Amino acid sequence: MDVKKPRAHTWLRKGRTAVAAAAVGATCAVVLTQTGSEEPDAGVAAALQIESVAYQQAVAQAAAAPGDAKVTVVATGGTLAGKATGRATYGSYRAGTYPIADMLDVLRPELDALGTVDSVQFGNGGSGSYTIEKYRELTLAVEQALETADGVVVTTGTDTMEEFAYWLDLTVQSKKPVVITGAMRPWAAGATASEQPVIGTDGPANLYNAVKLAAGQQTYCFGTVLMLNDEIHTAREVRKGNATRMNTFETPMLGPAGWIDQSSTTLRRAPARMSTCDTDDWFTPFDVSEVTPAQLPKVEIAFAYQGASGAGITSAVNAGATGIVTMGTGTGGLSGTMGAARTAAIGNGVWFVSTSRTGTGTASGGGNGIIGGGDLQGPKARLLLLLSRAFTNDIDQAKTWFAEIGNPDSSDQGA
Amino acid sequence: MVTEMTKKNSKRALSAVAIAGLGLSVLAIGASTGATASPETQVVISSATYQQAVAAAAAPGSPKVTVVATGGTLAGKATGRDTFGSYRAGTYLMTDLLDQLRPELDGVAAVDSVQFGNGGSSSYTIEKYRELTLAVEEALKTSDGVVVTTGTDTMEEFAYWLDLTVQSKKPVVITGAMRPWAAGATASEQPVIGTDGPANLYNAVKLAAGQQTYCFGTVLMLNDEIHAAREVRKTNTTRMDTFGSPSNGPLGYIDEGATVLNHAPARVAKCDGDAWATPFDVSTITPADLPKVEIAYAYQEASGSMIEGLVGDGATGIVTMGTGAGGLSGTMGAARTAAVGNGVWFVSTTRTGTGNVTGSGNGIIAGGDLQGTKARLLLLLSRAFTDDIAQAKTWFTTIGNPPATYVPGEVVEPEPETPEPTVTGTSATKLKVAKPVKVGRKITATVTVTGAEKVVPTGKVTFRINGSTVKTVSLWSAKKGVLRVTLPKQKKPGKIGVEAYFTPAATSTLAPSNGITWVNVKRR
Repeated sequence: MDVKKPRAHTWLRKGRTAVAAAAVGATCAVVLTQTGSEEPDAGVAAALQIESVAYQQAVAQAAAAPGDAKVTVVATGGTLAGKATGRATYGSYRAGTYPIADMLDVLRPELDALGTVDSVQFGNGGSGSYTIEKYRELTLAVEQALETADGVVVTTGTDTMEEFAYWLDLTVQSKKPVVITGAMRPWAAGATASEQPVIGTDGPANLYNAVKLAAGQQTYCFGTVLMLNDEIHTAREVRKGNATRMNTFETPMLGPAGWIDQSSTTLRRAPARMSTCDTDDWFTPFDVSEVTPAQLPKVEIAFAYQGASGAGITSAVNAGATGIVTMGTGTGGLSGTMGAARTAAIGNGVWFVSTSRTGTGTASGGGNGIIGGGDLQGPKARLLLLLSRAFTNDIDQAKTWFAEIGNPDSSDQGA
Repeated sequence: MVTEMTKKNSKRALSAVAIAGLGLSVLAIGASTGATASPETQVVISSATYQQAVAAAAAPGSPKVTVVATGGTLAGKATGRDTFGSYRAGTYLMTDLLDQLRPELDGVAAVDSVQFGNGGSSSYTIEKYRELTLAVEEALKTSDGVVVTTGTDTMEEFAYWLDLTVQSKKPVVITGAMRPWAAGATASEQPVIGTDGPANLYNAVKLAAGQQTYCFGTVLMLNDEIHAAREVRKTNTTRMDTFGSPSNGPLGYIDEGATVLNHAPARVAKCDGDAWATPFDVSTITPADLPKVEIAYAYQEASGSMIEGLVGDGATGIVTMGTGAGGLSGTMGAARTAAVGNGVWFVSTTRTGTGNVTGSGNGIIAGGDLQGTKARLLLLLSRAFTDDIAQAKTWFTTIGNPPATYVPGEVVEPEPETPEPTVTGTSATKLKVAKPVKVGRKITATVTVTGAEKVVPTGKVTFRINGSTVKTVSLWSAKKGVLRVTLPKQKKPGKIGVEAYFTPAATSTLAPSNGITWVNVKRR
């Protein structure tokens, strides 16, 4: 059940009576708590409240045989793999320098107690250096790893980590845990990853905790989650909230889904998609193995402000953009000139998504050529729009996806 | 009472202002928590000017407050009493809204109003922004404080614009509402259930009347909280606590009779001097002087076409809201480099919302932790007031990211009432060197502009070489009116004619000799 059976799913939600409690749990109830223990490697004695059979099975299996899990780390680089110019240098470093195999070795032998950990060096660069075409390949690499591993950890730079996370959340066609992590301070300053660790680097603990979470299966069916600074955030909600602080990742309004305190992994919320864990409805339609790189369209973002020019939108459309996400003021407001540019672009068949630059709250809107973004953040809405344009030519279908996938309602109990 | 503060007390207060200047969590001003609205304020800010303003407000007699209204949800008419989201912004007139707050309002101040406009916040252009500044300055000639009402969508931009441009130290308080005022034919009928407008407006007037934010620049008053214009942003589309100052929290709050300020913006430290005012006196420029400056937002593999399109459309400055500490995609970075080659100025900021961006370089100004939308307004004004990017970089440091560790040298005694300065310069006060001078490729020109007694003149000095304007520099910060500038390299050294014009700011008072005199023009 980890991987989708040959396509038979429908996007109408169904068969969810058994998981109604879980869906409610997404808003406030304690979903899963593993009590703390003096024993650092205590098994996962979880008080399960998620009723999904598949979920219970995955977590119970991990708890029954601690250390037997197989985790693959798919590494893309970032500050985590950064080599600093000195042990006390947090800001001056070369991202994506050390190989992941060497960094994992630094965590051994303790790491071995969590499971069998291997790695794939997908790339070694800053987060900004990856293209959408590379994103597609990354999804395929993660899916490939999940064919044999129980969970995958993806390491990336933090600058666009929220975009990596949501892309994987939208595209990976496996229910197994995908945990994304990285670091705000570089790993070391030595010739190799094991020499001259940077003073106070957060990388090793982030990587260790991410492997622990993937091995423990507590986020089975959660989609992609982000693990950094001891906190677990859901891909849809998380964003980088500061340029440099170690607690930079946040889920505005709702707070993190949970955290890891040594041996205690606590989850307070689950994403709404948890409620379809026992069915094929869990999977998104965005199976990127079905599209070629050439089918990935250009979709851009236009940010609004006082008297904003419409020239950006016009130029992006001329450069071939078929979709544009506006990050409007308040509930999605645009200046007059920017609004006129949008109207003209809609006439040329461009799809728009209306989001808010404020960061939280629901954007209003939706209309001819315009999809209401709900409370999805601009960069996330852009990825969903990009995938929507790649997988359908019907804007009504895209609107449905923005409602059901982009803004899943965890109080919706379905038929 | 503050007016009876002894010299000894003043000295103690000086060390206190150093702490307040740090902008940390130290209590800068505390007010008694009595139910009375009387601002019996325990002042810890040592500025004599500040003390005088707050003490005057506490004295008997009504302060005068003018409300400059631009519309927004505050003036919105809803379709029903329980309708928070469906309404027509900018419908009711400010005079009618104020009448709803009477008679209680009359106990706070003598309040009048100017209906500057009545629309949503997004409907205003930058040209209108300039007019709004002039309207606020006009009102402050006779009022003790001004309240500006706007829509909330771009209120943070209104606030920072006014903060950067208004040349008066008197309180400017901006406010609005998240829920419309009423659903009736007039503002007095069918108030919307739970509307926040009336309390916001009432509290804003109270704050302007109380003078507690004298020298703070523009502050935002909403949801009982007081925020600095530089820090505040709208963080939610609809909630009533939408305004936040992400890194530092609010400056303070109003709880009924207690106006509490826990922080002060860094510029308060300059309250006693002319250095308080910014160089952006918009009365010295025309609407046509306001350049196009835009924002480009970064994301994974962001296209460079936005930047190209904006530059093609005439933008002379662009603020990038980069990932992390200012990162751009490769294509976006290439577009920036090309635009820098065409003379476009860039400011690097972060899309994260908080934290520092330090990267600067050829054509790129580091935005610090100034938010993208705010950096764009500062860049726009910088382009309007100088052609020298080094000057703009200085402004982004001293004005955009003011060091709160600034400590004034000494406490000055309150000056007696001074009449409004009069303009004695003309728009073309001009002095031309008597003879052409022989100079090298590099030229340094020094002029002195002499103000009236004890007044540092402010305005713009325009340098011309052989009849063409080569540099315009604001004189606002020049010590004692002496201005030394390095003029652009000359292709051919030799005899050239150098001229300097001084355009005084509206409030600048010049010496009887009027004027501008040369110190020297020399090769470097």
